[in-house]
Amino acid sequence: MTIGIFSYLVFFLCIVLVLGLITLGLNLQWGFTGLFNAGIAGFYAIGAYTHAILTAAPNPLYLGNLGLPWIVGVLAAMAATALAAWLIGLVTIRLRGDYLAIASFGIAVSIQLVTLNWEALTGGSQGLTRIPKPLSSVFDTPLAYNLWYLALMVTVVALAYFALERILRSPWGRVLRAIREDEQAAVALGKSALRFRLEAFVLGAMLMGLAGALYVSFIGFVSPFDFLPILTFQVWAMLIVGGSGNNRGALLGALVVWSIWAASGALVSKLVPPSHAAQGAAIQVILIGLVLVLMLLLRPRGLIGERAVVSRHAGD
Amino acid sequence: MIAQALFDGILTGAIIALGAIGVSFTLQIMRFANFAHSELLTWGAYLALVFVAFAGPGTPTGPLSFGWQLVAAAGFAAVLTGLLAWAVDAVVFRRLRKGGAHPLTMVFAAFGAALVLRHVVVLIWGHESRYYTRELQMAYEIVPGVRVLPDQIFILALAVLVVIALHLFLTYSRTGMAMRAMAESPPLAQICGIEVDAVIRTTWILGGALAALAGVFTGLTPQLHPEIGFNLLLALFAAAILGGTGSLPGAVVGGLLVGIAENVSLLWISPGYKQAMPFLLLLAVLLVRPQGIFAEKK
Amino acid sequence: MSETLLAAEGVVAGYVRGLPIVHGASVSVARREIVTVIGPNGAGKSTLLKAIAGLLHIESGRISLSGREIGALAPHQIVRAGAGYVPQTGNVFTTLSIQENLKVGGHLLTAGDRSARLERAYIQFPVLAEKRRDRARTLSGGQRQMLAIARALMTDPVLLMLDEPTAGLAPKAVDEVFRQLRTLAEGGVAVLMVEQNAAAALRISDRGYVLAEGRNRFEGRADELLGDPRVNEAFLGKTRKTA
Repeated sequence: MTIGIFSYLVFFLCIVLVLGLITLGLNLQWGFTGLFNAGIAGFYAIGAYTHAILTAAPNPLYLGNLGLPWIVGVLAAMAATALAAWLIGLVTIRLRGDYLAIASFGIAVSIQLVTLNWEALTGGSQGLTRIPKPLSSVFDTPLAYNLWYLALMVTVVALAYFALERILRSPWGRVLRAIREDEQAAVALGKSALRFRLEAFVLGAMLMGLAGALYVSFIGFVSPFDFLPILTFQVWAMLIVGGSGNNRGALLGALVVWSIWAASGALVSKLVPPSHAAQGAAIQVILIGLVLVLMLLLRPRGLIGERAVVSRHAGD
Repeated sequence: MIAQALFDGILTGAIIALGAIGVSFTLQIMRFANFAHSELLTWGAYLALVFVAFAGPGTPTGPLSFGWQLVAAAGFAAVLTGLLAWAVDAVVFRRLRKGGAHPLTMVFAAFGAALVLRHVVVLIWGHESRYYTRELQMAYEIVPGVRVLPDQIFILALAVLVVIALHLFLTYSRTGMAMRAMAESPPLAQICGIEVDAVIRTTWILGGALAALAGVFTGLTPQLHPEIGFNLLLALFAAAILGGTGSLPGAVVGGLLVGIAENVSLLWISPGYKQAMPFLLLLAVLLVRPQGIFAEKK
Repeated sequence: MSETLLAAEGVVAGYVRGLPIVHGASVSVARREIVTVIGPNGAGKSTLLKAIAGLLHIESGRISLSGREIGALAPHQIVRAGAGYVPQTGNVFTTLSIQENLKVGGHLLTAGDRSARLERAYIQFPVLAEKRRDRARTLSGGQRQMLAIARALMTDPVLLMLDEPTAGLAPKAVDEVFRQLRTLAEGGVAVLMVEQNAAAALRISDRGYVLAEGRNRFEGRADELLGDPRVNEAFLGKTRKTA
């Protein structure tokens, strides 16, 4: 029995690390650049599906399923996400922040539609299966595999974390921080400020795409129901709880929020009879939603700290 | 076929327009994208359902599938949803505004509020589709190639009446003028003695009432489920931005264009992608003319 | 000398909290007075007016109007207390007609008062009467300024504040604006204005202040300031070129 629990914990941690990777990406976009990405689920999905379509075992039913190597899938996932982010960013970053929110939300919805409808490519609501798990031949028991994947995830997340910390201390990162904190500096830099923001947005999105690829190659299949809008909300919650602008906080937030979500889900399913499972799930979302909104109301400045007051140009 | 798509588009467009008005003014006056607005549509529809559950939809009057009771239900829902909107603003957004919150904090709060509102509907009424009335209707071919249901004509007529009433309100009433003034310039409006909070309150209540009507119309054509508002969210934003925020004609024209684009596109693409059309329109507008069609920027 | 109407003391304010532009400026205006504030660009003159009008947060200092503290009030409450404000830019609603602009200016009035004041505005500013149904966007610079002032006068303020009322206007329009302001003061409305057209403004004023870097530099009767060589050299010399 304990092996079962242990195995579950390992699995759980892997998921937390995947989500942590996404949160790191969001932190770069929001915490360091001030860009509101309301379509996180979409970028995550692009990464996941790109990887799935390229690496899944060939199947005459599907257009994709090219059976390419794992690493190709991962890199392609990051590239595809980068492209999508670049397109969206190009159109909206120069406009108002809430327009970026709307446009990124739109991309997430559109991607969801594609995953559900373009069955020849994405498998529709059935999704795609037989996505190769890297090194699954070497680690042939579920526990062994999960442990190996945990090691892989820890490595990837650690690399991402240190890379981000490095980048943020570099000249590029310093300019980014200046733009974020001082609207005047941003105005002075003009078009270049736009370029920096776009680059940060794309980089953050690439992390989300990477997370998507790592997720599906862990699970072995991809389904549109793993990329619902509520995921966007969950990742935002992770960033808020962990404190935005702080990479360590992002990872911690992922752990805390996912734990609460999983625990409350387990609690609800214990207390609510299976016939009312939908209602139970609704209660779970309502409670967590309320808690988050309450947090926003009680925190003196909501999502952002003192810095924002300086960066907001009140002369508008 | 195009004629039918056009008609269907105008119908959908009218509904989107009603929902977009609130979003448009909120975007302009409060400069924040209210992701919770679509849930007011859903709530309006379900509140009308409650009324109908007690009073029944009424025996079909004429060719319509319902009687005056449903119209009363719509009115009841509009009032209650207006109040609900006011309550949500008072409890959540007003506090954030007073605390000097960044507009994007409010967007996130709107997300949270939307989730809660939507899932309370699921909690109370479940996921299954519901209907105001089970009456079947005869479609009439008003013009070769265009079939319409009497309910649809009724909806269109009512939507037109509502928009006209709103236009008169905005043009001639003191509150309406204050709203237009605030939509152009909040500081200038303030130094005319207009209280920002009062205008915001009115915007929420009106927006909520209109959304409720849009919700009832959606529920009528042909069913309700907890996602009806959320499914229209992107279309609402696209319509508001396309038409130019803070403008009634903008929201109406924007809504009609989005509705028509959605339905006409069905002639070429699969219905599953219908919701992507507003998004493409939105991107196009943001690329070419982000201030929208009726933009009258100073 | 009549009693003090507006007393602003030690006002510290800016657009962003913690970054004030005005560092403890003080001005006062008495009934029927025309007071002009001049000074170099960036001196905080406009910021001071905006702060008094309630559009900016005041970090410290006291402002009272007719003996009543207004420093913490919202803009619409300050209008109600009797202060009218004409900003330099964005001072008319371009999407509304002239009539609507004036009506919005009379938002706080009863319907009867509003109609009466509307008629009065058309008498005072005949050019507005002619074009009453036209959008404010179609007005010339001078006409817009008239509309902006007429709009502020709808509430019968005891104090009218104007930010650079003659900026960008042709000489004839400049004269017209100053003429209107003199008539207003004679009629009992106190005027506080910020002006770049310093010499011309001081000539029609009773008193003046010179602000620089957010602080008071000089003050006194207008004719004294006009004659003061230090003021002339530093602040009036510049404007002669542009006037």
